Amino acid sequence: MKYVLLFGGTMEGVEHLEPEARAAATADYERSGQWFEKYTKAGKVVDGHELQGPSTATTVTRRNGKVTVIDGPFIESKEVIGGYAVIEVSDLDEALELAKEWPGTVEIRPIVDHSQDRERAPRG
Amino acid sequence: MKYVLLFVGTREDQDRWDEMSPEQVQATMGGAGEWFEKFSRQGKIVGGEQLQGYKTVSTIQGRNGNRVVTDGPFIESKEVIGGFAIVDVKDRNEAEEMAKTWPAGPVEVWPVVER
Repeated sequence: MKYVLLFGGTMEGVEHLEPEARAAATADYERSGQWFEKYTKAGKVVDGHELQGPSTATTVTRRNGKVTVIDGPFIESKEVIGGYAVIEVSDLDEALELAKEWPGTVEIRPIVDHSQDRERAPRG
Repeated sequence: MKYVLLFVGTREDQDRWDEMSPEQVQATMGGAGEWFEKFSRQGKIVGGEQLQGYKTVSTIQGRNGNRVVTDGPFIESKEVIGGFAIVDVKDRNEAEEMAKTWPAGPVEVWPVVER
């Protein structure tokens, strides 16, 4: 089964943190790189990217045919998504085991499998 | 350059879709499938998934040795992510042009960290 892991947190602004917090963030960042390497090698991670910081995000909305482009994420929250991985595992338990080894907050979401029905449209 | 397009909508949108028949979903969201097909054929979309509803989400947080699993997304918001596409385009402008033609709600355009 495929799951998407959404990783919370960003390295954006990390230079403004207190030295101790900055060191912790940097250590977690290095561990997250090791996580990716380990599970990519094991064939569990089939795709994934680190996203640039939220200040680089743009949102495009359309209402009644009128398209608007604004700076920043659409989802207004103090939490941000810093990256994601698509994983191929046997079940949710295995997904949870992988997620538990990630050094920060992780959201686990099953994907909608379109491999069997080419007719059904993705929704967004 | 690679960008990730995050397709977002409200929890209410998701609840409405969950109650629709496959025919109603096709009528409402068929354009989204065509959008994916069109840009995949052009080689602009290099990855992407549709996510199951926000009710299927688990979140893990806490430090090592004290990891806690909870139900639901960690971003507490009325908006949720319904899916995403990874696009390989020449610049942000092209990514935004693609996002403008997405037929099914707001799109966040995020540049990825290139390695």
